[in-house]
Amino acid sequence: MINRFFIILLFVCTFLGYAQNKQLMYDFKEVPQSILLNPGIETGLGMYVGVPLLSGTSFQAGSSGASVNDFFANDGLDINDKIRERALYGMKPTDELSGSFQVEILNVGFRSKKNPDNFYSFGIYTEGDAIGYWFKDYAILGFEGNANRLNQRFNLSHLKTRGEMVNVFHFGINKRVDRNLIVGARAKLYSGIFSFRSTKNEGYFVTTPGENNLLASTLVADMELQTSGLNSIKDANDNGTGVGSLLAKRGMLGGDLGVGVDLGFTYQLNRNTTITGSILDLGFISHSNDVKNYTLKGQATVEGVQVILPDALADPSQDFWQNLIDDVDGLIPYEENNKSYITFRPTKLYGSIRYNFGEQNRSVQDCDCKAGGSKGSLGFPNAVGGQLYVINRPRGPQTAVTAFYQRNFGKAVSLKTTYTVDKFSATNVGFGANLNIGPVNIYAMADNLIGYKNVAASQYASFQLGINVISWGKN
Amino acid sequence: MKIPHYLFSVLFLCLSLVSCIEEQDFDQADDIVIEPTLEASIFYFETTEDVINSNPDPAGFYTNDFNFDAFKDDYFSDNVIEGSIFYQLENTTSKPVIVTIELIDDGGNVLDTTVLNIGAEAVNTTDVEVFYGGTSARPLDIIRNTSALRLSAQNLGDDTSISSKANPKLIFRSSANFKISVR
Repeated sequence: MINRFFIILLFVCTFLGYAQNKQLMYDFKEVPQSILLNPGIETGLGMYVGVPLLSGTSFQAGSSGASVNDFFANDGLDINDKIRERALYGMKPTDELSGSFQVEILNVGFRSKKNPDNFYSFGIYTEGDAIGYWFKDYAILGFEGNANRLNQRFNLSHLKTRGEMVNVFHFGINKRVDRNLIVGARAKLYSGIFSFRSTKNEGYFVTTPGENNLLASTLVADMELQTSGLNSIKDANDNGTGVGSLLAKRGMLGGDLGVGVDLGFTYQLNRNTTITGSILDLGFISHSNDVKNYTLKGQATVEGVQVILPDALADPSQDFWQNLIDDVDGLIPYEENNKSYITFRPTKLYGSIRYNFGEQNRSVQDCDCKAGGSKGSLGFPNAVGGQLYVINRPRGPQTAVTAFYQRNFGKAVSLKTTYTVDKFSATNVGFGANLNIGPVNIYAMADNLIGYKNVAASQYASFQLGINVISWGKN
Repeated sequence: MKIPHYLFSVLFLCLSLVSCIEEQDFDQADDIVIEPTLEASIFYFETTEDVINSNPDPAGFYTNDFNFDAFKDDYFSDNVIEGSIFYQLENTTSKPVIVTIELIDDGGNVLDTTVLNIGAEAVNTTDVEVFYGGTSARPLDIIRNTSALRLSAQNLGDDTSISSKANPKLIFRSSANFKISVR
């Protein structure tokens, strides 16, 4: 039973990758957490306080390769045939296998009393991010073996993965510069809880006709797995000394440390049109605490134990087998080290153009700003536009393009729907709702709604929800 | 504030799209079979005709035991399903030869014996494939318990002649091909 559960879990984890695009949240000005996606957003809030652990929970799932339904649909087909057809030979090494989540611990924002043009926000959130790509050749070798595959190279670079879990301490400033321009910046201090990275693997394994013997097995490897924090977690788990307390300690500046910055702006081109942009997590983490790295580097070709007379007669009692093992170990040494390393955060870039229309609600305006006294672009009942999202990934940038429509019903209700095209889906329709009931703000967003017609077949899904206490305008 | 009635339509539409799932049969996970077939060379032996001539022992000009732990590896021995060992003998010397390969366990007991004959200056190689497990007569325990190979070579000809072929040799080659049950 456990074995079966593990297999299912493996499939879910393997074929339901997670993406990070928050196209519904981006520039959804009525949602307080949108300031985390653009520190230069135009906001009409005077203050907000997120409810801890409920104010900004997000989870996203996507697959660019296959879905659970592809394998477990009750369709009468042999699951082994489905695995071979849809995974082994159906997925590409560029198909993603990854994950991310975010949970807010603290999130507070307030407008400066001295200078209402300034809006400050700070908080702590926990973020987990991992990505792997379909290790196609490893899978073929594992499922099929190397028999009858002479001269076929199994590419070791198909193993490409990275991931980490961090606590992020942040403080941001949002400032209206003039009637048209708002800029923002957020400083981040990362406290790394654990990290793993194996993204620069090279080499191959191949079986060829032997020079002497029937077959030659050749391994050319330049592989490395870097880890930080995982050993202490394993030790704590093995010794029963408390994984939770260890995670908390490493997450509260007791692990690896790093710094980063978010930058963003909103610029009002005219009364109805604004453009925005932001770059998030421009930073790095230095991993020097509980680091353990594993390397396999070298090359060797073996044709089995070889005994050649008359040379071998000189020492007929030698252990040819052990000599062969030692030779391979010497040519392709497996080593461990504790060298510190740096990982760059998965930097994200957002941009948008937005056209607001309808009669502007004057009760929903920006602050009573000194810098130009602009009404800003808040309070319009309708908005349409397009958004661009780019994230830096181990195999290069990934891009998503979104079209959106937003409808506001005064301050109380805001709805946003999006249509997004990315590597996961070309039919991704999302829907988000933001409700303000007095000082209580509640929002919920769901992605790829069409896919929910059959969740198991969906290759992308996400949700975001949160509860905040807010006030509007000038404090 | 009055919320337009069509808002509820939109919400209903969205909710109606949510939470459907086609029938899945996760019991299929029990049927997943992962059985790769692996192959590699295992043993190579080569001798010159001079060596054969230099040891005219009628019982054999060469015999030796070789440690061979590949089959004793716990993972392999626990999971091997079936397979074969392929032997090939090539002879360009001037005498017919018999090569005997024996699989030996930790106690020195012979588990299996394969004999390969080849004529003098043979044009063709002698090829023998021995199957273990599956439908073959040889049980897999032979493979699981093998920890050494014994190779013996016997000269069936004279001990003075030299082949007219360039660089005459007796060459023994072998490879293994086994299916492993990963799951």
